[in-house]
Amino acid sequence: MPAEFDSFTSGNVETRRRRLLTEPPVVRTTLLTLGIGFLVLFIGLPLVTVFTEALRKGWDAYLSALHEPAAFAAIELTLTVAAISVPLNMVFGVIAAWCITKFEFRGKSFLITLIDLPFSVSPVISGLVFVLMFGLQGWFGHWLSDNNIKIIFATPGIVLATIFVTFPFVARELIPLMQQQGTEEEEAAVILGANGWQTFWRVTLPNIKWALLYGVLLCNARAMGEFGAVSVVSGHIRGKTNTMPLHTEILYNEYNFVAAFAVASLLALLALVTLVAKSILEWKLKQAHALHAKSIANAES
Amino acid sequence: MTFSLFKSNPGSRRSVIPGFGITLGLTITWLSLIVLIPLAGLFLKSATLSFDQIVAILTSPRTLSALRVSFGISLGAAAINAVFGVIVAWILVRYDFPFKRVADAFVDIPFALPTAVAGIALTSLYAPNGWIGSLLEPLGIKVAFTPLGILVALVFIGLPFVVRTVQPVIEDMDKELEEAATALGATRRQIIWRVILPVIFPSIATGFALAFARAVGEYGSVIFIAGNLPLVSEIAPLLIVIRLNEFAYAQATTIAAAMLVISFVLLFIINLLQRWSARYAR
Amino acid sequence: MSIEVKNVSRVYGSFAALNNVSLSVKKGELIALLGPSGSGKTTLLRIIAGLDWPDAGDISLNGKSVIGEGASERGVGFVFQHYALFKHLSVFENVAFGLRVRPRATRPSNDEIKDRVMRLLKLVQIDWLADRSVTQLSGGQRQRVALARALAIEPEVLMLDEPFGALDAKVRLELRRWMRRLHEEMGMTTIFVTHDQEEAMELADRVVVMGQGKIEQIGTPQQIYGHPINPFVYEFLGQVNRLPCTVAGGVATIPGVAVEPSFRVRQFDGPGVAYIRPHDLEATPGKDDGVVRVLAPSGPTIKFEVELKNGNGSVEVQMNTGRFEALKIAPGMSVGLIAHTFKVFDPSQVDGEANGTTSSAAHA
Repeated sequence: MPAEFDSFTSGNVETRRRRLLTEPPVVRTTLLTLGIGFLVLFIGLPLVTVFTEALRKGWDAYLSALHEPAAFAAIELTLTVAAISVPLNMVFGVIAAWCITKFEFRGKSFLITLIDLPFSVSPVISGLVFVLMFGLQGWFGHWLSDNNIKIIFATPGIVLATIFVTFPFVARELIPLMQQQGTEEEEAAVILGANGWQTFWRVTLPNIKWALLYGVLLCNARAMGEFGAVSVVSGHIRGKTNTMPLHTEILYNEYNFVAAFAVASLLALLALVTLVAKSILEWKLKQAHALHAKSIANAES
Repeated sequence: MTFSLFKSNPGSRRSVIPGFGITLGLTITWLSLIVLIPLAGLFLKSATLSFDQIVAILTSPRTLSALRVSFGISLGAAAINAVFGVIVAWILVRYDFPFKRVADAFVDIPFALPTAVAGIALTSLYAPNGWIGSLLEPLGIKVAFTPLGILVALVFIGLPFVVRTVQPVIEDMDKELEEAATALGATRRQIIWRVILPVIFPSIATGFALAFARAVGEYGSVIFIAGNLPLVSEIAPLLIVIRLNEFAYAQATTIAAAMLVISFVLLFIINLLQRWSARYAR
Repeated sequence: MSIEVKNVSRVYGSFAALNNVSLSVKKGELIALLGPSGSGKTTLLRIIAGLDWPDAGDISLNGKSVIGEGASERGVGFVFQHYALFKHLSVFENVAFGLRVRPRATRPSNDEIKDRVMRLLKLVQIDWLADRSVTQLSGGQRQRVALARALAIEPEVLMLDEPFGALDAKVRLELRRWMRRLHEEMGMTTIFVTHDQEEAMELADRVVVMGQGKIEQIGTPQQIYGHPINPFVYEFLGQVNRLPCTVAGGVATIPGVAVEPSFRVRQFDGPGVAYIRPHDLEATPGKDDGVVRVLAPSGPTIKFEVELKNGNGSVEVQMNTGRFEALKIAPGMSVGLIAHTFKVFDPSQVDGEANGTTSSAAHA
């Protein structure tokens, strides 16, 4: 026993201890190979493929594939749809998160479940529900066609479907953070004489801005990239109701691979930019969380 | 739930923070308009059919096959993700290797990359003349345009769910727990089975459930690589689209409603399982 | 500002946080709401401030009912338990907040705001921290920022929720003294919530002892400590020995403990429970009431346990260290016990067994 105690600090025991706290080298290497191999195979290669396929016939072919009216129209439509649906969902997300985190009421967790609902609905069904409402045979189909209003196979339908699929993003990012932050700061603002707007702008918003931006970013990536739901309501009218993902599909099905991957590469770039921004924001968010934790800890000491 | 904006009511459940009525009202209105009413419309529509009609649609061989393909392959993909997702989460938290941060960020690619882009990229990779397809061809393995292709696509889109639910749990896991177990004489294998796995199991179950739910409804990344052969590699969401394009609204709606019901029931069951395993882990 | 609380009740679900509470506070008074957690003291404070609303009852400030008014209309300064400072603002901007959010018509100019904020920061002795982010401050400094921020809107009444609860012992003591001086200088009506009887006794003009949603006793610290109205207050204010006794014609008999001959129990007759503070008990060598067991010296006084011979458990005795040493008391020694003063309560008022010692909630 004493001998073992003496050698406790020696290198031998330290190595043994470390060996007990991690896996044997063989297992480590296997796990690393499996994990990294899996990531390369399933994520790295597809991503690389997008760009190599797009540039298969050189830069000129790539640029001319993008320099085409139908491609421009698709980009324009995608930006328009995102410009309408993202701000709407941002405002809703903030309102919903405020309601859920700043007040106590019955049925709250049910409300959160309902807000998350679109995540568990197939994109195809998300499009279908709007066809059933506003399509020619839908609930409002006759009335709409009598009044010459087009929703399905037109931009409004695409916007609606996009809002549906991106519905939960902002609220989901805000709710956990705002729950953690509690209501004391808002109460303090109110008792100091601030009205509702002032409380929101001067106290709540500064506390949630990074999470909000993060949610908006994810919401936007999904809004621009949504395929299934939009595909059902769009009608695939070239140059009119094709968003970028739909345009990619058409080009691909026409065996125009370079053009398809050229448009796809723009979407992939958007995804990469989103991820970089997300990494930066996550770092900022961690700081915000740490700041909160620290301010509590400091107050205790 | 009674609340009043009238200040003269002393018994009311007011909060000092303003805006309860208006934010709750707006939330419920917006939620109803965008999500609840359209979804209710779907069920209302399928309710206009008689019970026999519904049964006939759902038990037709093509529908059954599509549902089987969607749910079956999703289960397989989620299982693969549960295994590899845990490995990826583990090496990202516990080991050091070059470009670790990049690898970490790349886990989110399936979240961020539009599904259509993923679909065409995977297809050209696994097509017989693609980088991977051409390697597998001599072995007699065909991926693109077969159910195997669907599996590949669903593994791709489900990957982040498992990694991102398990990773924070491993990060938060107290190293002292393992040290304590070591001090008590446990071997590494015992620690993994008796200490680590019980702690991360609920998060694996959650990740599995999320990956599964996502895979069942997936459309964009699958249709390019699947081949879409009826009775073989046709997924349920595609069948809905096909029926819709045939203006067979009743059929499309019924299949959609069935999928929704099955998904909700599955999510509910998995939720219960999770709660149970979480309690067990405590 | 005078405060009148009339028959206020508040129920959370099936839990009665406040049950028919009435209280009046005079202008310039410093009041402590003292009680264990769950006694309703914070709820009462929040209701007076307008952060919460009663299910029944009325609140008047300066004789005018404010039950229909929101927190911002009551002219109340409030210091939150964890201070609730705005993390993204500097110390200066935190204090200036209440001035900056005023409607344009009554909002002071920037120069005035600067003047006023700096004056307040000087008052709370942290003017040198004005540009610091509040996240860089220590607990005591945050406390002062929170106080300056509450004072900036020139409230007529100041309310503090566990103002020293989150601070360590040394800072707590300093801030307590400083706060008392500040109150004397400013003369503002002040109510604070605490679970620490020492804090309440040292600071307050009057102490309101609360338990389970009710006010148990209101009085000056001397009244409260010297004449606790019931066993709850008695126990909450400090350690106490509970022993069975009988009273006949004002003379109490406690088995195993001698009673100071001149001591008379008023307004009680028959079997009861004697509540004796440890420092009201004295041990003397040469008799055989009990055996000294455990010693706990703490500076000028010494506390020790005496196990009673008659099987009634043990009692805690607190004595002057000098006297203790003069008597040469040591563990294992047999001693006699004399109770100098105590209070007798009806056994039906008392929870649990009527022997042994109980600690106050503040010590738990």
